Amino acid sequence: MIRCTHLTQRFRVKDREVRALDNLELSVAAGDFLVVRGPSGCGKTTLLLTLGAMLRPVNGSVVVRGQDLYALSSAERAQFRARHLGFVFQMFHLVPYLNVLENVLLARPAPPSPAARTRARDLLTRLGLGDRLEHRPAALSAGERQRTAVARALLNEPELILADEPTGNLDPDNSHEVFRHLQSFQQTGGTVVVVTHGAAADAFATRVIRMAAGRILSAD
Amino acid sequence: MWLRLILREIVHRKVNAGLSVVGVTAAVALFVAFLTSANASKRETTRITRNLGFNLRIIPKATNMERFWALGYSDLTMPEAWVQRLAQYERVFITFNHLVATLQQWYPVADREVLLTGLAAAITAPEQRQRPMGYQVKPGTVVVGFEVARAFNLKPGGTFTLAQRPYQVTRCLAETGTEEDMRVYTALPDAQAILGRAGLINEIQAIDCLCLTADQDPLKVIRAELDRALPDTKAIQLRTIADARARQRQTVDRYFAVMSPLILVLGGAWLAVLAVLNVQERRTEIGLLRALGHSPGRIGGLFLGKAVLVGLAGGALGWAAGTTLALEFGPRIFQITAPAIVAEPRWLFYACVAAPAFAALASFLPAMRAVSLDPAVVLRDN
Repeated sequence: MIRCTHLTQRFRVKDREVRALDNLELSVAAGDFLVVRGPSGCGKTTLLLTLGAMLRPVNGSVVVRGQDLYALSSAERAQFRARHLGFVFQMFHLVPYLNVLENVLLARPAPPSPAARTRARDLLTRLGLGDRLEHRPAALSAGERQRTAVARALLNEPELILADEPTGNLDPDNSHEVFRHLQSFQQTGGTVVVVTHGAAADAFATRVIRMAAGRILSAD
Repeated sequence: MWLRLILREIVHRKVNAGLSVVGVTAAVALFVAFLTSANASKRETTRITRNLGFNLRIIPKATNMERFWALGYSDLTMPEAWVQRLAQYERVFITFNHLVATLQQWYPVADREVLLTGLAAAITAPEQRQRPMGYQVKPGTVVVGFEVARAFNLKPGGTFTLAQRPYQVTRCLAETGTEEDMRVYTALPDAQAILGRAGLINEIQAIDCLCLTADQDPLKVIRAELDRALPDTKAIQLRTIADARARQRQTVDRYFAVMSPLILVLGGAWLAVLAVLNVQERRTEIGLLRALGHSPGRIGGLFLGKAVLVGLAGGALGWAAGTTLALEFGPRIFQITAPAIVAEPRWLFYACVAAPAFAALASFLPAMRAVSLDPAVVLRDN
């Protein structure tokens, strides 16, 4: 599903150069639930954004589903993200003035069809939000917000979900719930990459790797 | 969905949208108030000028001006056909309005003299809808001045004999205290027959065109055109009337020239700053949409679409506010024009077209900034 070769990312912070990814090599098979663990600032989010076709590496390549992401134009990468990838963020990133259903439908860049609306409703019902469709994010608990974000990630039936600290703002029960939904996606043939600093996701993972200073230290 | 997204965002961020609408409304209101008052002023100037009468007198070039002013008309004549020649000159209606061929001469009646004035039908530009200026005198009829009517005891419906031919009196004019009181107006052919000057006139009366701009010397332009169209004539402009018109027109033009760019710059800056703040506030949302695969065009469309809606609302509200301002305060500023100040619905149409375009233009750079936001940077910052 994913193959990263010599992946290097560098940033300048004031006068200092930071190596966020340092010649990183990574392969993820289709159907994997990969957890990337590491302390803050080790390059986890940078890795996720690079895998998500949003951050062109200084060096190296990212091939997802046989497609070299950064050989595509910006518009083609946007299309690729919409068709094949789903994202879940720590801060949920729900649009505050849209209701739950509309937030999920936002995953469709084109005007949502009736079928998409039905699928969004079904997903939200499956995620326990069937009675919250018309509510705004401000009226939801943190767990409900993250489940809305998971529904949004699942709407386009992606092959890969990239989750950045998806339970960073959740209590253990809600964390478990979110990982369970990601796991059920993985068990139906999807691939999941979660980057996190905690160990809560390990129980759901098929693989766990540890990162520090832009490098992979070990793989379980 | 996209329109709903824009509308929901407007409702959600009421202050930003509200201030944007206020900015557009204020700009449009000032324009509409100004244009409504200025147009009223122009209409009123035209009306007053028409009431004052012709302000251009075109006479034979060889006219002795001392005699002209002593008699009140040129004692030389020119062919009547010249008025047609002038009317057919391609630029005539750029410079002149309402051409009337006249033949005037003091004429003895009994033991008195009247100022016999033959008038041809007025020639106006084909597209002009205004009725021709001056009196329309039918052949066989006369319009008489106040003194003439009094001296000869004339009344409308009676007859007045000139050169042994009776003419029906159609109208007796009110007292003016000028030479008008001594005039007897006839149809031009009648005057030519009475004076034995068939096919001749001694003056073409006209009015200079309002379309001459403030930075031109109207008389210079008129004389240059006249040299081309009728080289054997010269023009006299009644300066008092013409100057009053030019001054009013120039004042209006000057105000507008100063105010327009000021309003546009201030309004544009106001909208642009609010759009920049809006982009700043929505960075995460933009990053999210980019991450979800929404194209830059659609994201730019969110901001430009919002600008268009804000412009539409501001345009409509601005028209209403501007019209109210003009109706309320216009009469105090333009006192002579006051009765002519009326609501002009056509400005609503223009406001609803121009204001959204202006708002979109002012929001263009902030929208481009939104489009160019790097989703990775935004999402990593969060």
